[in-house]
Amino acid sequence: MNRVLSSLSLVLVLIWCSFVSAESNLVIVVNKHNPIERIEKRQLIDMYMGKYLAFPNGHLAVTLDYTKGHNLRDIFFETLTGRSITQINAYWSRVKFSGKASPPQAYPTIDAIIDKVKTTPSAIAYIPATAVTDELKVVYRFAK
Amino acid sequence: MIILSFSTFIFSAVYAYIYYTYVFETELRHSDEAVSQISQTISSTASIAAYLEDKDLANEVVNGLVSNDIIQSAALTNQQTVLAKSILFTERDAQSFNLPNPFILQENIGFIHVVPNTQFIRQNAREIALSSVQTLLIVIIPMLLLFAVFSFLLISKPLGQLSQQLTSIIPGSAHRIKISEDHEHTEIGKIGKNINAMLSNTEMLFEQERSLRLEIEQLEKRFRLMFERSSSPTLLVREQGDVTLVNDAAKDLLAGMGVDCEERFPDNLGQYCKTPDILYTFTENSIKQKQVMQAEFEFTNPLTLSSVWLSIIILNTESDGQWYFQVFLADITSRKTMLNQLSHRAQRDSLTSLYNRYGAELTLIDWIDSNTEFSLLLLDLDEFKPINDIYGHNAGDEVLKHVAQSISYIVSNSDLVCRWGGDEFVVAIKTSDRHTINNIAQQLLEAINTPTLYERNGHQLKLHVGVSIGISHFPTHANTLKGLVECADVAMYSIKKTSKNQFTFYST
Repeated sequence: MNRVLSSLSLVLVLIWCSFVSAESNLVIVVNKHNPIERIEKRQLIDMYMGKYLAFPNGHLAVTLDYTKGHNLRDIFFETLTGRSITQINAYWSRVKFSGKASPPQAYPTIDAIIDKVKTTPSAIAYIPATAVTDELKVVYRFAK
Repeated sequence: MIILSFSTFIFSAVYAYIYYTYVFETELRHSDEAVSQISQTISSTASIAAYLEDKDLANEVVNGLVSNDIIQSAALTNQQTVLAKSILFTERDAQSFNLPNPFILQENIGFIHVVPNTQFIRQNAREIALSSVQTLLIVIIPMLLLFAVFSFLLISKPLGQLSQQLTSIIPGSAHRIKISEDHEHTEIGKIGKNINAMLSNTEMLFEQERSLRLEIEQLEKRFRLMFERSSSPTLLVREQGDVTLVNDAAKDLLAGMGVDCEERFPDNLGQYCKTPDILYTFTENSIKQKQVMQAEFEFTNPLTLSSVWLSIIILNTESDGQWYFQVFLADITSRKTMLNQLSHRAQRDSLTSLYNRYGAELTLIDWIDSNTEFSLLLLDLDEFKPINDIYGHNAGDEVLKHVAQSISYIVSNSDLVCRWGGDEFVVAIKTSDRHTINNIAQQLLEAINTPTLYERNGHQLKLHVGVSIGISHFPTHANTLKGLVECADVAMYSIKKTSKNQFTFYST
């Protein structure tokens, strides 16, 4: 009896883990010709929050984002900054007002993002780890 | 009223000052809190400005801060540079608040510096405090004034009137405090009534005291009269001998005896006493034994040199822890004289004034009791009866008187002469020396043989008697008086029978 229960709970834990990883296992990718190999979380924040629109080597960077309401966007910003998406939106509405920084370009789907990265050497984007192809270079993985 | 108003004023002033300070401090604290709250409000925008080094946003923040009355100037800096700063800004007076990185909270990316408008804040606080105090005073001063007036009218004034009345009241008199109708049922009235009750009590006590004092005075007067006017001479003497009281009778008596009343007792009497030792012992015993003692003493009056007899009674009394003795004196001289006369009369023969038989017996028994050696001479007159028969009893009496006188001349005062009865005489000489006795007996014979001159009907008569003397000796011949007399009688009769007008000793 005990054996049945413990094996059942193990199965349940495994299912939950795979679901979470499927949702949050995001990776940061760039064009495969981009010389950048690795990127720091801090640099990521600065790039996505509009502080520096450049890679650590000084080359201009184009940050790609999903349109408002995309569920990956919620997960990404929450994981990256520890802020809710509402707070992030409020931030952008404040920043846009002064015109100093501008938010990343928004695309509606993962495929659109992947296409943009493939065609733009200076692009940087986030996609689920499962969507990575040979034409993309992973520069950052969110810890599990 | 002045004190009350003054204290009201002081109280208001102190209270106003304290309240003013309190309100002022509270306002300052509020302003401080306001500054910090305002800074808090803009901190998220300021963080973003610092994060993006967005000078426009920073300026907006600073301008927003400065537009506030209580903030004089402000500045926004990131770690290295000043992003925005208002005019008049000096970092010295500023309060600084940390600005965190909007996305990495633990990282500090800049500061917002705020200089509060101290002048404005203080001015504002002062105005608020002042108006609060004014409001307070508007309420409190009339209240205090009312309180002062009421307390003056209801308490101070009636109390003052009470005390004024009290000062004019003499305790023990019939005066009472008047209570006005308004205060009939108030505390003031109650105090007045209580005071009146106390005054009544006091008056009653005074009255009692007065009557008691009167009673005591009367008693004292009576006792004084009793003591002073008493015919019994009385002294009151302290234990140490100081004479404290002397009544008139005692003064008269002692003055008459030449005694100074002021001198110590009993030394003042002792110097004139015939037996001072006994007097002193008597007084000492009285003090020691604390009991009534009575004795009689003979004194010599230094003025008249006559004898004075005093009866002295000493009575010890204690009063307030001090021992006194009352000394009652009585002049018993006349009684003593009378008694002496009486005893004289009883012991003496009325015709010859010699001891009679009773008197002689008293003395002789005394001598025998004290073993005093003496010779007893029994004299019996010869030829006396014919004188009585021929010339009458007067002539006989005259002879007896003459004989008695003659014997008295010969015998000394220390010895004894007695008319034993009829024509018998007894002479007792305190010696056993025969020669002396012979000599005396011889003298007696001669003296008695001398004729007595007697005048009768104008004629001078010579009356002549003889005497026969028998002599016995104590203790040689007998131990008792009776025995001695018998022996002498025997000797005397032996002569009567034979020769007459002779003397002889008793011989066994």
